[in-house]
Amino acid sequence: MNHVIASDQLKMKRTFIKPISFLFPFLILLLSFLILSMQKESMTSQVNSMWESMVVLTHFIIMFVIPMAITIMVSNLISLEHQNNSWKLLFALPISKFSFYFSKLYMILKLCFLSGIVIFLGFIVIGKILNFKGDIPYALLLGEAFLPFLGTFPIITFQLWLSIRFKNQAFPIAIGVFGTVCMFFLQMNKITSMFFWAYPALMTPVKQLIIDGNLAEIVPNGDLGFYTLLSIVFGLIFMVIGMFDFSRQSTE
Amino acid sequence: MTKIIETSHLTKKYKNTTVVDEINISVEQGDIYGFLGPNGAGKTTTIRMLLGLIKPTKGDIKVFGKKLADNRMAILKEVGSLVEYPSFYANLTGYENLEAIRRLLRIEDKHRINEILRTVGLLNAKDKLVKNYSLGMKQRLGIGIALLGSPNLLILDEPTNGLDPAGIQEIRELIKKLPSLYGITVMISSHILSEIDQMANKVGIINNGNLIFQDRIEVLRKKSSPRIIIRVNDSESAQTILKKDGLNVALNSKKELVINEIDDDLISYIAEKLMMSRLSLYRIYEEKRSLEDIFLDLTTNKERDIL
Ligand SMILES: Nc1ncnc2c1ncn2[C@@H]1O[C@H](COP(=O)(O)OP(=O)(O)OP(=O)(O)O)[C@@H](O)[C@H]1O
Ligand SMILES: [Mg+2]
Repeated sequence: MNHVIASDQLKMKRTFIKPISFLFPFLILLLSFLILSMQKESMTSQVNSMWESMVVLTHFIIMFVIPMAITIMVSNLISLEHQNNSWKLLFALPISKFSFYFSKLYMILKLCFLSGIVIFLGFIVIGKILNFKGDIPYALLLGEAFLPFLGTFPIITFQLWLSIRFKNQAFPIAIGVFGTVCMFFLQMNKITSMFFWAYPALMTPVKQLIIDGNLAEIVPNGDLGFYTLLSIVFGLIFMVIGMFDFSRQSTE
Repeated sequence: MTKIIETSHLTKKYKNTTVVDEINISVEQGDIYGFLGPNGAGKTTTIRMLLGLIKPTKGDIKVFGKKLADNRMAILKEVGSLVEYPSFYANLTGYENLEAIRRLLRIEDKHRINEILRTVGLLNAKDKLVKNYSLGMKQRLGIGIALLGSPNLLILDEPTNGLDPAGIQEIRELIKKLPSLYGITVMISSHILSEIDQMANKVGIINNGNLIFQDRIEVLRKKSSPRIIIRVNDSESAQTILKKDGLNVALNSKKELVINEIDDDLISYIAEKLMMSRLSLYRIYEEKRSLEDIFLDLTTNKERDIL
């Protein structure tokens, strides 16, 4: 397994995959920073802590940017093999097909983890620059930096499946974009939010109540456990389907 | 001799079309086996089956005496291959491509990469991005990748595809020395006989999915030895006359006599004999046929009777 990963690591050289994984967290942080610095006055008057307000605000950016970035990264990583016609080279080597699949999955998860760290550290930097009051709420920031990624686990394995399945990456990318657009509507309703494209929107440590049409208190997200479970279950389901399809595809 | 590749009744069907039809390939230790056939004959399909990339519809494959279906991983450890177009990562240099494969194959010795680059003549271009390689360089890198794992069996599908004569010559020299230097058995496919003529010792010819010839290359060469063609006014009676003398005479499509002997005395005897029989002799000439002619004849099903 390690040797396949080491090889995949080298194959990413001179591609956009790693730069994207660093650029999109910066994009998120930059947008968040600009909005926060413009709205600081109106926000400090609220009852909520600035740290919490930042998390709620940033989540609206994160829930769209992360699935998009993942769609593109997965597609780039897989089209590396499609474009170079290298599946046939790989399958003629004495290596199990599953290790190729897991190596690709591992690559994406690792890049997501690194992006999460960037987002986490970025939150602290923004808080310091804008002089947020109170101690740094580490658990809250860690939650917002990593829970949305956990929520995209089904999207990762789903996109991985599509990108491997279809040589032409226009289709997987179109699906990824479409899903991201739909997410906003899916998450509004209890039933449609069971669909996996809604999870990134719902995987957040806190949410802001809306009372009489006005933004109110920020409270812990009570549905977190439920959507974490769903994310893992559906992520694993798509992983198994993707793996099965991958092993079949290669022999025919 | 130990059998390195042995197939029995190997068949591949796509829907209703039979692409490879009951072929029995036999490659022995130390062979350079030329696998020949025109475009669409079924060479790549056969090679894909030999590597376990696709499953046969019917038939058995044994490699190194072991059944491929049950020992695929163990067998692939000892096989290097290049199927259809060489695969490589265009965003990497030649060196990095070999390094990526070295990591996959868990080869400890990093010097092996430079060794391979030297063998295939890419040492000077090793730090160039592969997307800037010429076609010949890409083919050589493909062969290098196939050689990296020190295989005992090398399967190359049209490795000379798109190369100029000098490039073909280079690859030929490289492949020729493999069996003696490293004890590697080679199977190499091509659609041009002359390309592999000077390196193969054994040839299998596939046409429309059928293996129509498989033997030492000398046997094929013998078929290309020159012969004498005689044109007369009445070829049927000429044939009868000569056959009475115990001579082996055939007729070609132009109704000319074909004799597989070129002995001067014999030819003058035949000429005299025909003239004595009051037949008009129009022409006597020697026909030299290249291996390519033989190959074309075999694969286009013409004149098979006189071969
Ligand atoms: N997946 C497939 N589905 C249907 N037919 C196929 C498939 N793959 C190959 N064929 C057919 O099988 C036949 C043999 O193809 P193959 O690629 O083995 O020929 P080849 O001898 O390698 O030819 P070439 O010299 O052009 O490389 C062709 O007629 C081709 O159309
Ligand atoms: Mg072919």
